[in-house]
Amino acid sequence: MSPFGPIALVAALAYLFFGRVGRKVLAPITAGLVGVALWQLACDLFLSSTNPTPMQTLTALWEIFASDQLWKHSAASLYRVTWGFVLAALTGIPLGLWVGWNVRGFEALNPVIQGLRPISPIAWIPFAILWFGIGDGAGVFLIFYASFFPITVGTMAAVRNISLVHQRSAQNFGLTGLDLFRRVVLPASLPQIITSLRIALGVAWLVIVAAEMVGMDSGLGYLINDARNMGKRYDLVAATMILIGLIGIVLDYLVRKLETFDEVRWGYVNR
Amino acid sequence: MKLRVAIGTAIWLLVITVAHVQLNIGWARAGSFFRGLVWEQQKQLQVGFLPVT
Amino acid sequence: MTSWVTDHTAEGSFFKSRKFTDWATVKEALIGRRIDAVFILAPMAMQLRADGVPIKIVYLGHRDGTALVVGKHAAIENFGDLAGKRVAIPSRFANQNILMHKMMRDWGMPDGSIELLEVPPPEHPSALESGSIDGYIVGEPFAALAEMNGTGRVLYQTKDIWPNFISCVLVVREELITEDRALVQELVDGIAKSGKWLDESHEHRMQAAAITAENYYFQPKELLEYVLSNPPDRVRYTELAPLKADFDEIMELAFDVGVLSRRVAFEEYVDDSFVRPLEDIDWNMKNLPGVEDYEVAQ
Repeated sequence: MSPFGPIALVAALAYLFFGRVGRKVLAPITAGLVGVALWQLACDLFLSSTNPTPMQTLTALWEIFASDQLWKHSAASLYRVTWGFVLAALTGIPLGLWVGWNVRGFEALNPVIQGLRPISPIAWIPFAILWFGIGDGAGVFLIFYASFFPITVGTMAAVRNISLVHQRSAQNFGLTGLDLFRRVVLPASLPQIITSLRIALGVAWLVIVAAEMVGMDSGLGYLINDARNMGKRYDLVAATMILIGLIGIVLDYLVRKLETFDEVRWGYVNR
Repeated sequence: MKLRVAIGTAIWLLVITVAHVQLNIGWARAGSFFRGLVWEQQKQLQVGFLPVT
Repeated sequence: MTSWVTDHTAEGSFFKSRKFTDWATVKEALIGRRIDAVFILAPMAMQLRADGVPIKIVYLGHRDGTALVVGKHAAIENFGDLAGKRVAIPSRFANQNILMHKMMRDWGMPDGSIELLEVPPPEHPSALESGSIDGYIVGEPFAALAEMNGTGRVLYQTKDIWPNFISCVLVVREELITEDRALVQELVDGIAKSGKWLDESHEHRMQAAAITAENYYFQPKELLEYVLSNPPDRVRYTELAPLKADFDEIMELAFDVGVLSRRVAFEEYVDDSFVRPLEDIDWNMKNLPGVEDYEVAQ
């Protein structure tokens, strides 16, 4: 067989891989495939048969998609994350803005905020159940707690980091107090606030899975625990993990879209 | 922008809440929850268990 | 397995099953009165009562249904061979823990000669398979799982070493008893009826396995069928009245071992007034949901 064929194939692949199309599409796909191949290799070489192979996981994923489990549990998890996150944003952003802007507010509340922040939401589960019972209430509270601190701290930092140049020049134009805040500080802090929203959503999605393993009777985290209780359905566990990852990507994408608004981009350009 | 975000968020809140009630809770239970019952069972008793003997 | 009988009782209109995944949440739900009736571990019920939580044991969940499993090819032929080995238990508040201590004393082994680890029941078969433990003692269906997988074998079934073994009991909050006695009576009657139905014939048990596998446990039907029939009295659902002799024995042992913080009198934590002779119960088969009412996966 002539060497021309394989060389042409390799050349085409190299062009695709390094060319513009290749980089955006082929490269991540190839990286993913390499990961899957390593996974399969590990299964063949040294992992026990209990570990699911890529194929088994794919079948389990299909099983979830085909049953009504997918919608039920995704809805449950998304419901709790949505409400917890929105409540955290509605309280955290105003509070962060005020604490960031008001010196006395900062001195009073910052220590409290920094003190509560490091306590993992998971540690609050016993109290969440005691206060809100074994249902959505506890889940929403945990998500609220988990999202509140990234949002508040991020907003505080955004306000405090407004460059002095902005403030001084605005003051030169005669802007003071509330006007200064509304027209300069707030828009300038938007990018960082959105970033803190992104981080908070990531944390929230992380926490809901853990929270649902303890104390809920629905949701994706609950599904993982349920799969454990089924005996040896580790393929279902892996499939649910993939599902969780996929939803996480979509959530992050949605928040990132917020950054494309003109008002937000203004903040970036002028930084 | 703010209006769009607010409306979008409100719509999503509505959608996901309806979906969750529809799929997981059931409208009967949701109704009785809002009628202010402390534990949603009047003539109903929740019996808990772990799937192990 | 415990809740089968409840699920089988009046469905929908009266009793709704709620599946938990860990004991800590169950405890919190009981303490905070978020739930009024649960199947929990017998020693745990005693300890909750000792701590002042107003609950009462009103019925048992089942008898037997626990096994001590070791590796299929392990050189362990009797209990004495377990000296120096690691055995997993579901929880220190489980009667399986009490049983291990009882056996150690019966065999003249000093306390601590077997390393007991608290491991969540679903993890027991994989822990055995991976070699991190030498054996485990747990309730069905996790005991049978290793058997079915070919990785373990049953060393003892509780029916052979502690006959009429009690593992899970039905606990209700005292307030429920005062507020709605009839409801509690209905629940207990339903469990008694279903238990009788289950223990009546092999066919009934297979039906129950099919229904439960699909609707309540999401565990494979074959596993549940295996547990309910190998041997047929692996787990029993009749004779579920709480008896003083049985419970005092558990209580004394639990206190001795240190699991229980103080002695609790039988009358303090048990209310056996709901037990009725089976003949007195209105055996109305029409009220039990028929198999046809459930969608059974083929």
